Amino acid sequence: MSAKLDRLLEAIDPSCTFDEVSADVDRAFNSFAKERATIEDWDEYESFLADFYRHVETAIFRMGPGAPDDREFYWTRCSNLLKNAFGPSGYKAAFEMVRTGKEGGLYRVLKTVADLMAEEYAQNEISGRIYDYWNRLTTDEQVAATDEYINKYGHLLPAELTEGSAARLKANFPKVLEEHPKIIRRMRRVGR
Amino acid sequence: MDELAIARDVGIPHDEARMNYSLNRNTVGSFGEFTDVIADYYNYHVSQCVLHGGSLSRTEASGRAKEILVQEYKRQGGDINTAYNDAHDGTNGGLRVILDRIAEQLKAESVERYIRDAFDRYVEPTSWEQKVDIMRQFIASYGHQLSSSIRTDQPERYAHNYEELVRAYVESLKKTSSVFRRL
Repeated sequence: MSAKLDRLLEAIDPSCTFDEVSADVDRAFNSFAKERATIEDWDEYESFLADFYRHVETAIFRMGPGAPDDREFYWTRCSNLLKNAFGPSGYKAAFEMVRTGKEGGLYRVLKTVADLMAEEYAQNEISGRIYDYWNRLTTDEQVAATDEYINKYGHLLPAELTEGSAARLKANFPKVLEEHPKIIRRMRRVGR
Repeated sequence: MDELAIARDVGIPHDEARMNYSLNRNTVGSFGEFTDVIADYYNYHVSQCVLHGGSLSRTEASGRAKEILVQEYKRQGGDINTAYNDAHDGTNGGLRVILDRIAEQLKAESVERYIRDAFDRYVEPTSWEQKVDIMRQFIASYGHQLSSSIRTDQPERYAHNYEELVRAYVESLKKTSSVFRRL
C-alpha cells in the first residue's frame, strides 16, 4: 500500500510535473519569434496568439511537424485563458494591452498565457495520475492511504483538516493530493 | 503622464528590447556564467533603451544587474542565491524570468525618469508660485472628483505635496482604466 502512495507522490512531485512542464514552456517561449511589442490589427492579434499557443503546446506535447494548424482551434483555447487572466472580456482587454502597450503590452500577455498554460498542463497531469491511482484502490486501501498520508504530511496541513479523526481531509483526499505538489513546491522555495 | 503616452514613449521600446533578446538556453551552469549572462543582458538593454549605443563595463553592468535582482528577490524573502538557483535549475521560469525582472526594473526606472521630467518641465521644483498654480488648476479641473475634505479654495495648502497628489490621481485613473478594460 505504502509503495503505491509513495510511487504516486513521486510521480506528482513538482520536479516531475510543474518544473518539467514549465521548462518546456520556457523553452518554447524563448524560441518563439517576437519582434514587435505591439499589434494593432485584430486578425493579426488572433493569428499571433493562436500561433503562440500552438507553438507552446507543440513543445509541451513534443508533437512533430504534423501537429494540427487550425487557428480557430488554438485561438478559442487561448481566449479562454485570457478570460481567466483578464476578466470576462479578457481577450478584448488583452487586445487593448497589445495594441497600446499599456499594462505591460504584448510581452505581458504572452508571459501570462505561457504561465497559465504551464500551470494548466501540469495540473492536468497531476489530476490524471491521482484519479487513476485513486480509482484503482479498494475502499479499505483508500482509508489506509489517507491515514498514511496524514502520518507523513499531516504536519504541513492546517490543523482544522487533521484534528479529531481528520474527517474533512478523508472526505476530500483526492483534492488534498491535488494540492500536494503545490505544498511541496512552496516548501522547497524556503531557503533557496 | 497619460498612460498611453508613457506606454508609447517609454514602455514599448523597453518591451521590444526584451522581446528581441533571444535565449538559447534557459539555464546556466555556474555562477560565473550567470554573472556573464545578466551583465550581457543589462548592457544590451541599457544600450538599446537608455544609452542608445553606449555601454557599461562588464563589472558595472553585472553589479547593477545584481543590485536589481537582490531588490526583486528580497521582496520574496530571497537573495541573489535564489536568483542564481532559479537560473541554474530552470525553476520558477529560469533565466527567462531573471532577465524579465531586470527588464521590468529598467523600464520602471525609465518611466520614473519620464514622469520626473514631465513634472520638472511644467513646474520648477524651486518655484512655490508654480506649485500653487498647478494645484489651483488641478483642483479647478478635477476637484469635483476628489474627497470633500479637500479645501478647494486653498490650493496653497497642497502646493508642497502637488507631486504626490497628481501621481495618486494618475495612478487612480490607471486602475480605473484597467478595471473597465476587463469588463
